[in-house]
Amino acid sequence: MEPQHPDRGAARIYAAVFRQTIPEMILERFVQAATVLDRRTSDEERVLYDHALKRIGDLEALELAARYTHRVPALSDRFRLMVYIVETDPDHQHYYVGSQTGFVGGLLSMVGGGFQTTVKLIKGWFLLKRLGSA
Amino acid sequence: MHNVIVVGSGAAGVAAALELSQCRIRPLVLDVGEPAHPPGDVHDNFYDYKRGHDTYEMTIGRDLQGLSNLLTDREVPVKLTAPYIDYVTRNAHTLSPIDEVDFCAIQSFASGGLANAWGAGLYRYTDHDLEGFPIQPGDLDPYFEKLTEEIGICGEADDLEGDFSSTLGLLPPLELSRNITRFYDAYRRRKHREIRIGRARVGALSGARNARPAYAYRSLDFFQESTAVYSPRYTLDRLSFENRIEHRTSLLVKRWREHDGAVTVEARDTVTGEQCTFEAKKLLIAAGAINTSKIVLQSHDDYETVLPLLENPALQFPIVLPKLIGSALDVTAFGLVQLNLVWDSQTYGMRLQGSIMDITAPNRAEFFASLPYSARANLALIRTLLPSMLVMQLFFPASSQPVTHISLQANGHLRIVGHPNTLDLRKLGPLLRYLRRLGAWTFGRLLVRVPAGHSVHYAGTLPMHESGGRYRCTPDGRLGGTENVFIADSASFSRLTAKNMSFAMMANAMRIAHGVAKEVKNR
Repeated sequence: MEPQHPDRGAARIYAAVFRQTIPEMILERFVQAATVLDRRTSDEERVLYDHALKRIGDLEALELAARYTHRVPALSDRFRLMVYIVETDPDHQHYYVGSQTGFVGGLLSMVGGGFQTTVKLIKGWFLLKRLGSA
Repeated sequence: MHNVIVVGSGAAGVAAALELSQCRIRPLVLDVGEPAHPPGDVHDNFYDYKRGHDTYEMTIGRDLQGLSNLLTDREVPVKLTAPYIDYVTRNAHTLSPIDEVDFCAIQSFASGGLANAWGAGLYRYTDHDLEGFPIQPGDLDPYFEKLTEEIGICGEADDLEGDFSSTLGLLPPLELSRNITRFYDAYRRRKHREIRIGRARVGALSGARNARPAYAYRSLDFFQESTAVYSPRYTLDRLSFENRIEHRTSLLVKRWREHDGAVTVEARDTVTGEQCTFEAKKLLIAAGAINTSKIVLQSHDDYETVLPLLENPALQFPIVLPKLIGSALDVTAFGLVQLNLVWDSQTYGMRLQGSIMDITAPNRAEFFASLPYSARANLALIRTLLPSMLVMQLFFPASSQPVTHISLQANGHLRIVGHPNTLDLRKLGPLLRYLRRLGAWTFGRLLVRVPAGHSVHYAGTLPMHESGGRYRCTPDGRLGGTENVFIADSASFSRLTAKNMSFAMMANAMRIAHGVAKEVKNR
């Protein structure tokens, strides 16, 4: 299979986390760092990662299941990389530092996150299976 | 001929040079001396600054240093990945290659050494810590007092006074952050018979002093140097400026030879590659326990002896204060150690020391991979959960794990054989239960065994012993089998308790330097 262009990986991962089109500066920085990451990615991992980009719609769900099962580390590493790089951008600070929501607001957010995670995890396991059998 | 040569400009080397200069001896200090970056120019609070400025170069860097734990196989403590501090470990593995097994050695060849990146926790050794040493606390006390004056250490008399000893000369403590205040208040209401908590003794200024500013609570601790937090480099630069020492850099000391009551030191110029020699009446080696051992083994052409290497094993875990979930991040928290905990643990059968910190200093992204939710939900956790969290690092005595070994190989590389950190987490039960009584929660899944080597408290390769001996030191620091070679750093420590040994190492370096100065004068 043809390796996926790094730009495509960046755009897909950014969209999975931030639900927007990736800004040019973040794209450039991600590609630069991902090139270094590529050097320590095995061929087998690389194939799985490329396959995931090409075949899997919900990368966030896949990454979650992959993180728990230690499969497709190339995908989890690139999610981490994206989160690091985006934090350097002033326009994205609200994703990292919130204002006070109060105890109930905070708790609701955490419970909601737990529910969302459970759903994503179930979906991710199916996607992981699909990825493995493809 | 020089009177005294000091090898190394880290905490121990600088303390030794300071004492020599106070004894009116002008030592020659030799080191590689990787230079520090120019000071940063951010004067805002880091979180305000981030909202208006791109922080890529500041937090990640052009050479992607900030991502090194992700992009390379070699994991290092997070603070050492910050671009402003990359000089601390620059070229370390080229200058002194190490073949490691189950150990990750952190070395520095920078002026000021690893102390440029330290947490500045400075604790006096007491009777308990000096058990097994051929010296007494009284031997170190005068030097603790001199250092307290030189460094500027804050702290106060509290429940840890018995563990940390005299409060003489301490500056008022730094302000506690919101989370730590809540935690400390809970402790003071519900004390525990095995566990004591008190203010950290930190080499940071709570008020301006000697041209150094007071600590400014800007959350920049990981990304910009503040002279409010002491580094031995400041003393080194001052002594050099005042012409009280001769400091020569770009020199990697390889070995020494003793002859006719003098010592010849051989070094390699790291710029030109040329070999250089220097002659002195006395040699003080303070290159850090690992490199000091290398110089000693090289000087003996010894490729067989295996020396012990002591290090503090450690655990790290986050603590959640549930009542603060949903609160805003306290962006004015002191980013280094705010409280210490001393636990006379019955389950472990030993005394442990913990450092309790707020977590505002690192990048928020640093926590992303440790959180259990999906990516977007993890970001929400970063916003809502992290502001209610603290982190504790719990240090154990070196004796709690099998001894690590260090030797020199024929190819010139050091070999360090360690052991994976196997500290028994189940024995933490009493501590975790007590923390819950204080309204502070942690979870088994979040406990992290710090990799062997990451505590960076290395010691004991050439331990002090009453009678000296081969690869041992006498109580005055003299290396066994030599007349004029002294070990001034933690290599000469006889054992390593859970307490951070930096301050005791500096005081001991001064004690040894004082004895050397007397010998030089009497000669």
